[in-house]
Amino acid sequence: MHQGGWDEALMLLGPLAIIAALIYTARKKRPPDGEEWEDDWEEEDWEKQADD
Amino acid sequence: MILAHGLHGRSDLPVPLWLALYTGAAAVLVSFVVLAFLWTEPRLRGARAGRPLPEFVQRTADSTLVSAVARTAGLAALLVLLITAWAGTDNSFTNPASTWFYVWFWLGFVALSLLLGRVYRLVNPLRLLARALQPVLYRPGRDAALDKLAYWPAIVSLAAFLWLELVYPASDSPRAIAMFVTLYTVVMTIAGAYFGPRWFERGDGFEVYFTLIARLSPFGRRDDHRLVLRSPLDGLLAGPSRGLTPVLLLILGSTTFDGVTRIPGWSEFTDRLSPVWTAVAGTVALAATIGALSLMYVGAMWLTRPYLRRPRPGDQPIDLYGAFAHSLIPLALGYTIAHYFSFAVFQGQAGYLLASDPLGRGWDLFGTAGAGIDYTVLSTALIALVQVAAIIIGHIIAVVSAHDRALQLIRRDYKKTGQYPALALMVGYTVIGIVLVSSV
Repeated sequence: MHQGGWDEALMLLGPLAIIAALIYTARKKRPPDGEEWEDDWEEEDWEKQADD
Repeated sequence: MILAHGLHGRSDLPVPLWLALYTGAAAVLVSFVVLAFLWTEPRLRGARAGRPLPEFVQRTADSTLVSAVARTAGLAALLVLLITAWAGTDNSFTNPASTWFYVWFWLGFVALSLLLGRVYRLVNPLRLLARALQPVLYRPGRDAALDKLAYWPAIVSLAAFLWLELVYPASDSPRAIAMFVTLYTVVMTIAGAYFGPRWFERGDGFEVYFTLIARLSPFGRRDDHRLVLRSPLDGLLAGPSRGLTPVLLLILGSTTFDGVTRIPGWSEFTDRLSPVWTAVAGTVALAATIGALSLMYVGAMWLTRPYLRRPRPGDQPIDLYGAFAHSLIPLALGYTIAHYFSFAVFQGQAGYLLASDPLGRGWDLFGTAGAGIDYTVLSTALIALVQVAAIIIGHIIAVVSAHDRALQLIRRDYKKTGQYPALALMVGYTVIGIVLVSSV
């Protein structure tokens, strides 16, 4: 059902808010650049099982 | 595609748009939340997965007889298409060539590939033609150059086809189709003979596209070449990923553009233009749509990059764009089904109705000359349901496959947050897809 007009544009605000929140959180919580991490080269459990 | 525009390719959604939008976005988010708690380790095995089919099925599928019959049938179909397109009337309402090409071939092989796997490779008549020329043109070692070209020849050939289908003002003209198919056949045959059969895996846009769709089929090849029954999620990972991102963004962007051209404002705008300016406007808008969807993808991958594990010493760096490319396949398929399902069912009937008089000579070979398309085979509610379901299911499969890949590539302590950019991308694509299928 196509209503058209501003009401339809306003409808997009919900999904856009979700997208904005996801991007904001992803940027805010990202790991610091240029730092070495202990877990970088550490095998995870599923990798160990695959090796076995 | 003018045929599509002139027919019932659209329908009203049976629910309000806001409900379809929020249901789509919620389906993507909920599937992510469920996966985050229940799918905590990579499970997909790609080309190593699958239950072998019985030996006789494998022997039949691999037999030279089946291969010869399939390619001969493919060559016969190509010849019939070319003769009809060149020698019949230059009108898609009386000449079946336009329907055969756009519906039976372009959409039909999407369905066949989805159901049966890599069938187009088996029937591709251009492989047969190239093999005939190979003794003259082929020199061993040339196919190594194909690695440098990646999938760009396929991208160029697909882009040419999509421009004809979606932008060229007389896209349904049998002569335009005849010209395109003839040129395509000549170029692909010479290139296939020059580089060898591997050309078709890299350079033939149709074979590349249908092979990508075939990854979602329950039937596929394991890495030991056994014909197997497997989950489409494993199938998505069974095959190369490097270099495929532009192919998929091209398909995704062009299908989205087809939706854009059905917005009333677009036709009001182009109705005022001459055919040349309509083509110019269409070309710019097509490029802009593909560019916009590509930017969204690149943006999501750029946001994901800080979360990636670093490669171990001696390992190749992670190809981030290629690593998630396979998750675009179900999106592209979902969009294709949403946009063309009703068109295929309705316009597809014209393929056999018009076949009674393919050359416009007043024949009635199959007794269908006077019959018309039956528009009652699908209700508008069913069409709308299929459209929304195709987009949502496509996105859920994409979320699952991207999640499994993310578990391998993202740092241990960031498995959930690291997927937020890809999740935002999926929500964005879902919203665009639903808005466009509802924009009658």
